[in-house]
Amino acid sequence: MNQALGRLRSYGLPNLLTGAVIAVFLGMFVALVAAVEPATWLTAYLVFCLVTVLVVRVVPVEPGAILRRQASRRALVIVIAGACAAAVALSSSQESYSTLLVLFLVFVDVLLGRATQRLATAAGEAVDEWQESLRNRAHRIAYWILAAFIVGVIALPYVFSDQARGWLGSGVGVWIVLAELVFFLPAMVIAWSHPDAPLELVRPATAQTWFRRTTTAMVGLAVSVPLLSGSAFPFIPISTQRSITRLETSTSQCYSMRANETVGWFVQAEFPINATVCWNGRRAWELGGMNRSDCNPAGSQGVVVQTLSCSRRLAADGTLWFSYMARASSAVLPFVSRVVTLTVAVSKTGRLIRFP
Amino acid sequence: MVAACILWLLLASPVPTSLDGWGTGLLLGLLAIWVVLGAGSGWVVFRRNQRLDEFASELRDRSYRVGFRLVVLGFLLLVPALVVGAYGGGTTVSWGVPDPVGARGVAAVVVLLVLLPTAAAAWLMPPQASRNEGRPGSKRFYPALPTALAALLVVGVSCAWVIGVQVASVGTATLVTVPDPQLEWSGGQCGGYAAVAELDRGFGPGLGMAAHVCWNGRRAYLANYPQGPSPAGLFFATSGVVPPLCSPATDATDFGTLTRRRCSVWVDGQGSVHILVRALASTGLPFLGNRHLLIYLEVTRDGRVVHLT
Repeated sequence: MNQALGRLRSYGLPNLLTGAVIAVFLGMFVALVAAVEPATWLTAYLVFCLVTVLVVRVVPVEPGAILRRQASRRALVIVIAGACAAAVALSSSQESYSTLLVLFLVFVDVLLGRATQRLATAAGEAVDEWQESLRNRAHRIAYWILAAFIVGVIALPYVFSDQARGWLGSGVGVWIVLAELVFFLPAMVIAWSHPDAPLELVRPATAQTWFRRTTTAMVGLAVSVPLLSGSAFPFIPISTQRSITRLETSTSQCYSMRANETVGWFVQAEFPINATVCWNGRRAWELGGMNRSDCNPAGSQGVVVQTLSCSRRLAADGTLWFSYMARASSAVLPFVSRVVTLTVAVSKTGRLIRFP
Repeated sequence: MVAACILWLLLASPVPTSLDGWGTGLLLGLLAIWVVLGAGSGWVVFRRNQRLDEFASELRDRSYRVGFRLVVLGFLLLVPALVVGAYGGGTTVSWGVPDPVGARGVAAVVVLLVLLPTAAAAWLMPPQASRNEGRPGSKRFYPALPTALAALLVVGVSCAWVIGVQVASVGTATLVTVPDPQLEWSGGQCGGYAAVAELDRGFGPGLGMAAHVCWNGRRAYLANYPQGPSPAGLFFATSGVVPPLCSPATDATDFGTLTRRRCSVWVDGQGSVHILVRALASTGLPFLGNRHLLIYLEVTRDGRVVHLT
């Protein structure tokens, strides 16, 4: 018990507080997703990713022959800096690529963790005096770089440019970079500045055990599930659920129409129709559910939906037409997309000409 | 340190939604604490290696590490604050000139970056080191000079803020969205018009307006003005709070105050709708004067914007 408490204390109060807040936020996020979309695959996937992150943190790592060299570590830092620059430079029309960029950053951050043996966040008891001094110095340098980024990319543009305010609101790239810097900048500084000498291990590494293999498999699964599901997105058949209820009033007759088209699996979007249409023999008309505000997906996960058209018109023969066309693109692989069209047509006599 | 935490949480918190001019006081209070903590720690975090012995150098670097971790914690606290600020509270506008971070958020982040390493150094410094003879590097360093410089910086920030509110030109930002994302009307078309007239680039008082105007070729209507006529068949398509035209919810009063807010709406003989929003802006300090802020919008019966400032 005392040993466990001592180990806990060695992390320091700020680290413990930050860790606790991160854990609470992640828990709240998963709970929120579970509350909105109960028992979906997304919730299970998020929980799996959370467990994977925790397991990866436990496994001791070695830099290996390549990442042991300073030149390789510096190249890795340059790659991360390049990815960050690309994220900041993403225009609003290219933002669908941000998920891909985040996945890439996750990959290089794992490599960065291996290269530095996660020295920046290691517990106090796991590092010697020299390593403690090294990471303290890295944090000092990282602090000034972070301050320069915040002042130069966020605060000053905010003060001097109205466009920058809109960009900060609509763009996600700058926030991705901020998160990257906040969580990984000290490790980047360590990777850059550590001399080209054999690294002393922070913790003794283990051999290729079943635990390490399981961890590698978990990381592989966590990355491949959205990639595979995103690739298969256009080829999975659309599933449709529909129901129609007939209503009668003293002057007219109506349909209450509900339909739900689901595109994709796991990476998926749902397009609903929830409309009421009436007719009286001379014309059909909409009682509700056929407006611009109804041209929206009911829910989507890992999919970016763009409305291409949304129209309602009354034909000369009294038939009411409603059409909603949207492009659904995978957020992970934005070049993979498919167009979905939902059309409803009811004649003046109540004949159902078109319905999903 | 406790006072600094309380002041920063007040500055960064989304509740209350407006600080009613107290934002500048909070900011200056935090900077004053920074000066006190800096003087107490001998400004060790801003000193170069050549001017520090081994102990002080290690203390400085460790302060940055603790400060970095606390910055992460501060950012993690800011994320829900921004989300709650954007969507909660009931009085928040659901559409307007984009400003998701807000001057209050920017001020909170910058002051956090300035304050934390110094605060961490003051916290970590052992008691004997805070005495003059034990202060790190005291043989080659005279802490009164940086303290005076830091105090001058705080005074300079205060003066710049007062001059900005009193003298500097009024900044305006506008947003026009046609068709209006929040309105649907079968009888014509609608547009959303938002404007902000602000002082000190958002770090002073700001007057806001968000108008939803519809037109049908014969005349223009104001959709979010309960006192005026509203055309039949018009409805707000999106959920969320759409404040009435003259609601002060669109104003920014964290770093200054607005008084005598007036809102005038009229339709001329040509069917154009005119909106004039005025207010007196001030620093909140009693011995300084006020300035007029105004926003004027004119939309014709065919949807043309003649004026939006």
